[in-house]
Amino acid sequence: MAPTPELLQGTLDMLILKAVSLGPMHGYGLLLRIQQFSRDTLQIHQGSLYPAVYRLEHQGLLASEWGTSEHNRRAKFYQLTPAGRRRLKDERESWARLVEAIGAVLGATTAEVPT
Amino acid sequence: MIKRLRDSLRTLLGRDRFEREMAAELEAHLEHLVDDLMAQGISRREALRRARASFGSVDGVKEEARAARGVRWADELRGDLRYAFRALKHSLAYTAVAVLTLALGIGANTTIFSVVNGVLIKPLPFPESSRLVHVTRDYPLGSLWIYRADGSSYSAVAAYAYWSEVNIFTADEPERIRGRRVSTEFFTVLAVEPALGRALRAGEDAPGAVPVAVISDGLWRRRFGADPAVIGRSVPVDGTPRDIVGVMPPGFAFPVAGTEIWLPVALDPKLQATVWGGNGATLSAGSSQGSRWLGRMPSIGP
Repeated sequence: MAPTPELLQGTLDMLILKAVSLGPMHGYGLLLRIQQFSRDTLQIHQGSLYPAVYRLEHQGLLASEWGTSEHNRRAKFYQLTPAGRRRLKDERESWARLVEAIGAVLGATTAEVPT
Repeated sequence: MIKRLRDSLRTLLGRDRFEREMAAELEAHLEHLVDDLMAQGISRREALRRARASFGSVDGVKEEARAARGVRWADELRGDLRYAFRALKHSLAYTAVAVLTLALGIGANTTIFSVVNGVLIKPLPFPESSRLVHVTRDYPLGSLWIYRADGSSYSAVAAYAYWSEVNIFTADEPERIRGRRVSTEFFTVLAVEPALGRALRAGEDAPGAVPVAVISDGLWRRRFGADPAVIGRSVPVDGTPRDIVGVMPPGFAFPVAGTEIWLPVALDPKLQATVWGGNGATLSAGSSQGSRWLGRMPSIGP
């Protein structure tokens, strides 16, 4: 399997927002979601998760609430705020543009610069 | 930005709760991880070990989480302060000298400013105080007439005598209060309207005029029960019945706090001629104390 790609902080934030957008979840569950959706390609380092989540909450993009998990444990659940939803949309658009741009550069077949 | 500041503040104020919840949340995360590992058949001990290892340093995570909340500067400040105090404790002599110097400097500065502020900078509590001139030289009482006549540099001139305590007899009880004798222009010059009734009128300081008095708000409330019908009531002041013609608004106490009654000076125009020639002793008895002045500049224009 290819080595896990290095994630930029901003990218991790975006993935967390997306994971939360699927429904309220606690930190561990968010980690699992990202892992499962990426088919295990993205293995987020455990220690990076909570600083990112706390930062998003600090910026008002996430809201938190204590609840009970499916294992019957007490855990802090996060959900998206309206601001968070807006930010996710913006981030996805920026990401799409970035991917397209990088793809265009990588897909260049001639040395000529397009006019 | 505001949202983040508010969040940081809230975290700082509820620091204990924040720390407790963070610890509980990280603990719960580890527990979930252990549960999943154990579901794969790994022993609890091994699962715990692996979970802790993959999580990394819990304190490190906590530090980063605190930084994410914007509270790290507060922690660092606290640490720096504690270090500074320790260092100062080590060299007491130096600290003592430094503190003493600061104290003297700040104290001297504050004192000087207070005095300057009170004397020079703060405006007098009268309307148009910039036009008021206060002369604190003692003048013989009769000279008031001369200054009254000369209207060139002042639009109005008033005088007041040294304070004296007078006996006022109200509700069958005598009381000694602080009073001032003032010339009739006194209230005009200060431009303060009485709250009730009127101020002194021209002519009330002439000999033979009906004796009147203006009282303070405090006296009015204390001795007359804030009765609006006090105007016109006759009250014995040092044996002389005087009609109360006005009550000053609260907070007015010129020239010193605690002045409760203002009486017209007793002037005698016949004395005018003797002012320049004679000795002060021939002036009317009430003025063997000197008198002081207030002047008011005429309008200097817009």
